[in-house]
Amino acid sequence: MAAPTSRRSFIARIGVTGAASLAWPLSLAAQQPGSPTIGWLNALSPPTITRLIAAFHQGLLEAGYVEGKNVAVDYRWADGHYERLPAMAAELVQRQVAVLFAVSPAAVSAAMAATTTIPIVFLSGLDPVKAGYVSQLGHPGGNVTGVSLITSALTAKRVELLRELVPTAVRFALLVNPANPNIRTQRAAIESLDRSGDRRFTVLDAESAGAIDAAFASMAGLGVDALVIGADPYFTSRREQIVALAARHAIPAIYDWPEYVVAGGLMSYGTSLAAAYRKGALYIGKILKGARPGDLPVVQSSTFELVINLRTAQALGLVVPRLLLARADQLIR
Amino acid sequence: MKRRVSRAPPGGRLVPGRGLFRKYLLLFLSVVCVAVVSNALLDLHFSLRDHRALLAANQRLQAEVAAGRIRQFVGDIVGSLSWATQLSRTESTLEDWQFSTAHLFRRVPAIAELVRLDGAGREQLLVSRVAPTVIDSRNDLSRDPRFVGALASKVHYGPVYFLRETEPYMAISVADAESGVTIVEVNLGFVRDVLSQIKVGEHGRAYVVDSHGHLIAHPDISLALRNLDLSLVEPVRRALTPEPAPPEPRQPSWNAAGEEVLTAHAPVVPPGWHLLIELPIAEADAPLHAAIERSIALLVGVLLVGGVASLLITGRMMAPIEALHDGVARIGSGDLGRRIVIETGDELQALGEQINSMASRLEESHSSLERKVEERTHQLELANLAKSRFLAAASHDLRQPLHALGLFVAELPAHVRSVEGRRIIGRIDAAVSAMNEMFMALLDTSRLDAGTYRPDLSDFPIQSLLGRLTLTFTAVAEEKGLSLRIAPSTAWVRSDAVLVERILLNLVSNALRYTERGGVVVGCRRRGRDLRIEVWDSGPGIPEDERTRIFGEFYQSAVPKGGRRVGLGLGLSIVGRLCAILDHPIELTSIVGKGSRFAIVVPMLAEPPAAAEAVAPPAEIGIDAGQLVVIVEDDPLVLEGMRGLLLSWGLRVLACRDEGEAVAGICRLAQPPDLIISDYQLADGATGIDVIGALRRSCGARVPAFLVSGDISAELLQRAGSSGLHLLHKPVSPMKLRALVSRLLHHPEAAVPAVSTVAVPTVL
Repeated sequence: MAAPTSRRSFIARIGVTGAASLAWPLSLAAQQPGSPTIGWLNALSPPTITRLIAAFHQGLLEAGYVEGKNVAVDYRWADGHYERLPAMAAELVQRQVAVLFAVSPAAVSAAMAATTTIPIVFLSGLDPVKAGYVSQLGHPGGNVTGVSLITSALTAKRVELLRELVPTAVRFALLVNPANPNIRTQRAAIESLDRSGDRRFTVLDAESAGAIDAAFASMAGLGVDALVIGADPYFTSRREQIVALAARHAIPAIYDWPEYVVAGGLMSYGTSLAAAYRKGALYIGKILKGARPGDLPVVQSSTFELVINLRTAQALGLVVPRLLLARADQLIR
Repeated sequence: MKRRVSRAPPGGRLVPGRGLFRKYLLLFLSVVCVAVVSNALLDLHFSLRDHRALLAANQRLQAEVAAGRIRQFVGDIVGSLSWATQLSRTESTLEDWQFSTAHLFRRVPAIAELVRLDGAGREQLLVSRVAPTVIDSRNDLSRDPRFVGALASKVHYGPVYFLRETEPYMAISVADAESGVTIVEVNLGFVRDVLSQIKVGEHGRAYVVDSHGHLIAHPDISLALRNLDLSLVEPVRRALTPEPAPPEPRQPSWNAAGEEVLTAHAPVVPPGWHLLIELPIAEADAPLHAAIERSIALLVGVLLVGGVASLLITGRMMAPIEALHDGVARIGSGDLGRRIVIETGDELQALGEQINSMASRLEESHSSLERKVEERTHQLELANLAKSRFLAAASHDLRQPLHALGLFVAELPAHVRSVEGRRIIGRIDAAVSAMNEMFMALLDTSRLDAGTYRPDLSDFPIQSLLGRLTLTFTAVAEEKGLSLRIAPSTAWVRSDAVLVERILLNLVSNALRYTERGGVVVGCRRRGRDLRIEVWDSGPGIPEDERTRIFGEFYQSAVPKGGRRVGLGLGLSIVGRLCAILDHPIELTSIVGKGSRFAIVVPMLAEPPAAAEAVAPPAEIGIDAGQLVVIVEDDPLVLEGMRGLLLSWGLRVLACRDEGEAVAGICRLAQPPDLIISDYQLADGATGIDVIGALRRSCGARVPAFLVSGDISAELLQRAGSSGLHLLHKPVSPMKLRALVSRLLHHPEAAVPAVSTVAVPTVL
């Protein structure tokens, strides 16, 4: 524990006289003994989401918590290896963390399998009711609540936006990670679009770096005109590779998070992940203060961002139409 | 307040009481307290009122401002929508619509969906942030309230609804002049962003309810997403009440979370919502509490200062009063020379001076009084001395006839043969004895008063006195039918044997006199280094209230029925005086109707002297008939009496008037006398001592002799003592006379006994 040390140094700093009476309230700045621990269960790796970790800490701060002072965070990163998540979840449960923060559908499933008593705050793009996280959004009831990300549901919208940029495209491909439980939703969205005539859709699976390479290779063979990258944390963590492959194969692609576009991707459309991390942290704060997760309604993401990389568009020989420019929340030149 | 009266300590000097000091101190303190406390309370009362009023005004203002922001939020949406529709009005192509929608979506993130209807209510365009755009679906929405409402009032606000039970949404529809109606679905979650910018104190909050009291927006996201019906919560109910609530007084109420809060509300019109502001009462009143704490601290401080000031003022006020008190107390306790010094220049100083002058007048009258008392005392002493002189003189003159009377009575039986005559003689004898007794007692009292007694201390066995008591009183007790028990004791005491004997004689005689049945017991108890000699009787007892008086002169207990007065009542008075002279404590215990116990405490010897010899009572000695006794007495009556008495005892008597007659008589008889009895005070200034000396010389032999005198002065006793002659005081009882005569006749050389044994009558 850091508390005794800090208290000692504090006393040394202000001198001995009268220190004893002042030391206690100020020593709150140090990690309090017995302060709660948050179990962090994430399918990604730290460097890929530094912006989101910052947003998480911001949310904790708003809820009155500072990591290392009055709350501890026990981090578990799966680095895209979803199969590691159940063991990690079990470990966190065994450590009797106060609350689990599970990001991505795979992590939520692992956490829910590991405990039915420790509160779980999720961040997931799946419909929380359909995925079985909660029985109803307004009053979840169990030990699970969180932020619903609305990302798989945006697949159709992404296709529409991609078509606006590439009006000539006929053959579309959807890259999904078969390890992600959201794959069914994404397929369903694509299949509903497939019936509308002039477009053709192909769903490609990839769950490893090699598989991604292979998928792109097969796209060339299939003559794919445009690509929708499915919502998946692993893909997010492999965004450099994906963006590079898309550029190499000159395939216009739309992604779910702005991170891709910043890395050179063509365009992205989705809710704000940072806002979701912040809201998740706020809920964790509430639970640490005694709120029951079953009483906390599931938060739905409500902010949507359209980001377009004009340089990539130019490199692909695409002219961004006026309407799209008008709609874009952010343009990267 | 409890009044405390200062009491004089045993020394008699009064200490100044602190009662007044306390009274003044309390008075000042209470004045200070009342002033300060009431000031503080009033201050608090007004500051509480002002604080609440200020708070209320402030909150109302805050609510208005916040409501303004919400209005602005809604107004911005409507404004943007109107702007967008106006932009597209002239051309009204689909593409233009899409453009303006794109702008609108970018400008207003709260808009989740836009529907464009033509004038007939058919859907031309549907743009959603989630779902793909639908163009020209021709869906008929002409009966939709959003369409109808917009046509009716240009801008229509739909009811708030909750998408999937969590997210509050509302439709706003705007009709443009020609081309139709534009409907947007607004995510009211964005109202929360507005609310979160509204600061209400530290822990206060602002929230919005719709016209039915359902919570639309709340800074706490978990509350906002629940479609909470707050219409029954007090502040909301108040806000929903159509008539404006009176602004004063504002009472705290309880919010949905059960906190006690102060609330204010303002309408948000359009769209007919209510904005409420609530501030936890604890926070609202925090400045008030701080003010109260300050007031209390101030109060304590002022009270302390006031207390010290009161103490000082009271001390200053009390100093002269205490000086007065002290001075008066000293003057009152007799220190009349005391003067009070007060220099305050006010009424107190005047009072002190008055007391001083009073004290000087008191001192003057006191000293004159003392002089008068001294004079009176002196006069009394002189009078007492005169009384004593009179008594001494009277006694001498009274003695002679009494003495003679006694002698004649003693002689009488020899001449009276009849029984009746003898009985009368007996009566006369008793009367004379009683008279003698009383006379002696009277004289003794006067002598004791004159203070001429000096106790003659010696060590002696108490048994010698007890033996004599037995001898003296056995017959008396038997005569009265009483028992007399005198317990023997081996103790030796140190005292004046004669005086102790007189004390005991008086006590026993007294006891026998007043006891009618039962008896008298005399006993000794050893009490440490003292001997306690007790005389018990079963007499009538002495009531409590009379006990102190019995030692006074002429006290007599109530005469029992059928009884008679005996004696003059001088007995116990003499006992008391003797005990005082000897410094022997005397105690009395008595129960009325049961009896009394007198006790005197006499110092005791730890060890009786080794050569303690038993004192044998003097044996009764007979008188040999025919022996010659010379009597020299200038009083013819007494001379006749003595001669008759001695003759009756069978002695030959030569009765002479003076020395000359005696010498002549002896020469005539040519026989030396066997005994000479001479009066001390003879005619022509001659004394008995001279006469006896002369007669002895003329006889040429040391003839036994003794003196008889009516003079009881100590001087005479001394002279008689130094001459070695016995001295009997007139009136001499015939018995005593016979005893001495017979002894001297049998033992001519007997040593002169202690003067006092004969000088003091044995019964008083």
